[in-house]
Amino acid sequence: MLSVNNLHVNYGMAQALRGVDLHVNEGEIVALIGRNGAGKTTLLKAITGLVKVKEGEITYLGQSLIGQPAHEIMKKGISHVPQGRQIFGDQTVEENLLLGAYTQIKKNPKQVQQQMEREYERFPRLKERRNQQAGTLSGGEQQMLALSRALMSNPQYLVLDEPSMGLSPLYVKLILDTVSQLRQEGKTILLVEQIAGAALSISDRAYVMSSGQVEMTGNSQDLLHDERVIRTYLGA
Amino acid sequence: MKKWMIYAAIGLALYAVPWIFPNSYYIHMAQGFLYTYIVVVGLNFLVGLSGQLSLGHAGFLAIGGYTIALLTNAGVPFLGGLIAAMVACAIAGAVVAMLSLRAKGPYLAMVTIAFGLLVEIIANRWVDVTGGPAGLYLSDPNLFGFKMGVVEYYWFIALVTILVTVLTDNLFTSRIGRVFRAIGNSEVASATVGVNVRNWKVLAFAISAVIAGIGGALFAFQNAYINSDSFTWDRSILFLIGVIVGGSGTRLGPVIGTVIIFLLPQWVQSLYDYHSLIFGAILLLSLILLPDGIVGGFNRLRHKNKNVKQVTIDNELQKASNQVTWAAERSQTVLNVQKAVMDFGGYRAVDEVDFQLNGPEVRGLIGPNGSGKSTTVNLLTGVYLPTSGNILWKDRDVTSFSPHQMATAGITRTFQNLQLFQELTVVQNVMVGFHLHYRTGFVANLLHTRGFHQEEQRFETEALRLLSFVGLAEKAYEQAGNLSYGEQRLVEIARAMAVKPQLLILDEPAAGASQYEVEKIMKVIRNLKEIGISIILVEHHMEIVMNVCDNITVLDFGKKIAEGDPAHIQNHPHVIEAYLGGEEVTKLVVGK
Amino acid sequence: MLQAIVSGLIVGSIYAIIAQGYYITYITTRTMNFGQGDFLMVGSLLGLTSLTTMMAAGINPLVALLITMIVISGLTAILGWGLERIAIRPLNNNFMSIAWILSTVAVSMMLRNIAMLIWGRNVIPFPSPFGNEVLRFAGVGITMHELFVAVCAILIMACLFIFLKKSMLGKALAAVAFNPDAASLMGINPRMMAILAFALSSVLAGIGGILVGPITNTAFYMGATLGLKAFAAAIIGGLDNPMGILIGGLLLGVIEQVIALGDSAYKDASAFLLILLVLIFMPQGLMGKKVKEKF
Repeated sequence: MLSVNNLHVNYGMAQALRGVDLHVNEGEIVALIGRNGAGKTTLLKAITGLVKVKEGEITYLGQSLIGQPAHEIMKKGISHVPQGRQIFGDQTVEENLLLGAYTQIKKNPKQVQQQMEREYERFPRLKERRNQQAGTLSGGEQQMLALSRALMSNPQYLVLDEPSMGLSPLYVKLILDTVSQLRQEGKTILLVEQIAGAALSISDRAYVMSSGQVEMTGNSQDLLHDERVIRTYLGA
Repeated sequence: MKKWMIYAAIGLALYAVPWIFPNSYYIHMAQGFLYTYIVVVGLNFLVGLSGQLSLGHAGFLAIGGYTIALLTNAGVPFLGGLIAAMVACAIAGAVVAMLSLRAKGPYLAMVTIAFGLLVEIIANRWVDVTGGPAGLYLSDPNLFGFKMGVVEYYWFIALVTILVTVLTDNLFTSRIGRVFRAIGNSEVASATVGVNVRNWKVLAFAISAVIAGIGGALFAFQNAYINSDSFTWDRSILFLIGVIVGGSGTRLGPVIGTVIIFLLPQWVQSLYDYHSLIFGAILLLSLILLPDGIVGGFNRLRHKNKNVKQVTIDNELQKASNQVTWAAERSQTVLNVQKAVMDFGGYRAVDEVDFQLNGPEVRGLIGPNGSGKSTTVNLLTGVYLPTSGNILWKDRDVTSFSPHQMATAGITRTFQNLQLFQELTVVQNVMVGFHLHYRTGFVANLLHTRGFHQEEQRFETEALRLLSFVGLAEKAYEQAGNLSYGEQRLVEIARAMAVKPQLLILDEPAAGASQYEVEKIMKVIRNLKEIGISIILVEHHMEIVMNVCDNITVLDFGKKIAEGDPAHIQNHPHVIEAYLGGEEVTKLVVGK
Repeated sequence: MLQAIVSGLIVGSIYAIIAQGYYITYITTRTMNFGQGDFLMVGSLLGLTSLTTMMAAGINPLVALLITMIVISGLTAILGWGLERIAIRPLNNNFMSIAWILSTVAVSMMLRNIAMLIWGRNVIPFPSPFGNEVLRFAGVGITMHELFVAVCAILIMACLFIFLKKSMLGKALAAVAFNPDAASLMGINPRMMAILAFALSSVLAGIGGILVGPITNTAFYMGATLGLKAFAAAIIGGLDNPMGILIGGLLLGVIEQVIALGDSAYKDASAFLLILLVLIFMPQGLMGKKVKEKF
């Protein structure tokens, strides 16, 4: 289980996070919603070691993650699908997947191969385009690739940052369905999502962030019907 | 202590050197120190102030030196030669700057390296003119018929040194220096307040080259002999070391830097065989331990204990802030965007977007992430050139205008990812915003004339007024980089207001701001609307958009999908789907 | 004329080898070793010493050359690692910073001084292990050593391209270059990659030193010009494109030699004139990528 206590992160003098508490239990999908600039992405980056934490504690399976570099945290089984997909555009689809398994490819080439087959099964489109430069894929395909790349290391925890960003509704459905399905496969998921309605629909619990703080938290179904959430985020 | 008294004291000290060290060796050394210092001052101006880089400054030294040498040998008086050397260097500097304008980073470095080496090679090989390694012999320096000996020539160099120091100091503290520092901090933000970045960069290079040329000319007459071995790439690097180790961008830095690059090698001369080993080690250590240079590091220590100047917000300022208006100067706002298209290598970020702005209104521009809002803003402010389509502003085609031309035409903006001039104070940021309204010229700023002081005073007051309008007057003298996110956004708004625009584009002014700051920003936008400026507001914060906008344009996948007043937009099915609720997506996902 | 082109290609291929070093460190760390030329000098002088020692001990020249190249690769790799540790990592290298230019120059100054203390101030002839025999093809004279340089250059370039494109480490390097944050999320340690890049870059300089030695002869000050010309080659080709750099190197070598036919005094000037011309019209070099900044 992953838990975050009283987390503070600063960018220069600006406070991006001011005392965030959050926990994700095994097997859950936890959604993180809130407006642009609320600090959602920063929180994810702090968890996976991409930004420096000023104060507070992050523990995973009883171990502190504070001060550990991103490439070490990843080895513990937390995989981060960053915002905007950030695939390696000048390399092929298959090379991207191989890089996802960078830490294992020497130890377990066979297992990596199997995982790659599984990913190709999950997204047959990627198999069709395996030798194509990743940068030439469409947005939806890139998101599939980013997701598969993160899964190549067979992580326990998956941290997803706005997987629906800039995608058409059908792709959004495909990606979010995949997220639900990954939970069936036993993954634990922390999901940042702009389409609050959808995010609340597929998650168990949710945190609503605003100005670097957790504003509300609770059962996703309850939040979906909460007056304030509806007014601010669902627009109805 | 008054500034001129410090200069006078330094002048006296320099004057006294020949009596303290009545030895031609030391005087010779003092001459060397001073002209080296002059070159370092010039390079510091370029590197520290305008954020450009030159790895070929020895080239300007050479041009200065050879110009005066050849001219005096041809019978031109010494002083005439000196002026000619300065002119030659100004031209050379401007040419190098123009050649390197499009190049960035290492490419820019290469242009300056290539220039320096070309000059070195020409000096070395064009023996008929330069004398090559064998060199040129000159007559003794001669001032209006008076032949200068070692001591007199030293005094002359000292006088020039003081002049160069005073004048560059003046530039540092004038609006010219402020604009250079602004460009070094953020080129794009400087452009959107009306600074023609290209010309200013060329100017910085030219000034720096002129100063280096003076150093070169003085050097040529030090021994009345000049040859091609003095202008090597190593020398260029040495000057840069002086700037960086001394403390780039500081005013005392060049003095310390010159001590390091000129005196230090003299002291360790007895260890000639180990000379560059020691020098290299000192350089490396100082780069690691004092990343801001010696003076920079010292300043940082001092600043920790220094209190910032306080602004008392008296009634007068408060009252004045309510009169921030230039409605009288305003003519009718008519913006007409016709079928604007922006392609990024196959990806269409903005797809045939049309919209009009008639008269003062607050227009919301919304849409999901990646829908093309920021790109649209970049098109409207001249940061990007549209792939096709037209932008008309008051019936004038401004499609291909650059950001500073847009500012001149009356369109400016703030930035989603903040582009403040971090190293300037808050009030200086706003004062740069007044760029288009300053009337004093270069000379007034160079000499700090009375007009210059009056103008500085006036715009400082106006800047404080704008700051109190956005509620930040009490932070006016803090460094902009030290403010919170929301405060920095307000400073950007104040800076944009200083342009006195007719159309102000706010790109996500509330992103990252706290609730308290959001309210403040909303209030400012409302006040701006009252003044009568047209505003385009890009924002995710629905509360703000629905409350302050008169009309809203909605983008999705680069296309305009809806337009109308807030009530219309809130009930528009496409908008709800694309942005506000994603009902259809939710349905799809949940399967209901 | 043909002769000039052939010798130009030979020299140019050495420029290209050295210049690939700039490419590798630039894409991974956005910094470069401005003392690359002095690393070359170290490779050259160490190579000379090792070669003459072994040949004096009666070892077959070819074997000696091979051993020398391996030893020099190892030593320069360590040197590159050291450079990254003392002159790159401790500095706060943001985009605007130019401290790395000076810190690498500082290291090169020290190296040059040390080399002067060890090998003295004079030019030392570097005899080619292949002797001075000149082969003739269709009227073009080419020494055995030049032939060796050509073969080596092709081998090195081939190895480098295979390493960058095919090996997992090369892919990781490319990933760090493309997006360091995303790469670290894959478990790639960007710091390790930086060390690898500097080690590789230094090895390329070292090997370049052994190859260039018999052509230019060796001295403690030999590095500066060669380093700068290689930098020019990298910029002409485009710093972020290894193929461009290869072409830039060859182009520079040929143009120099052809100009030397007319007036040898301005041979060195041609390189820098060429670069100004290229950069005026193509500010990213011949084959460099254009980047659009976002606001």
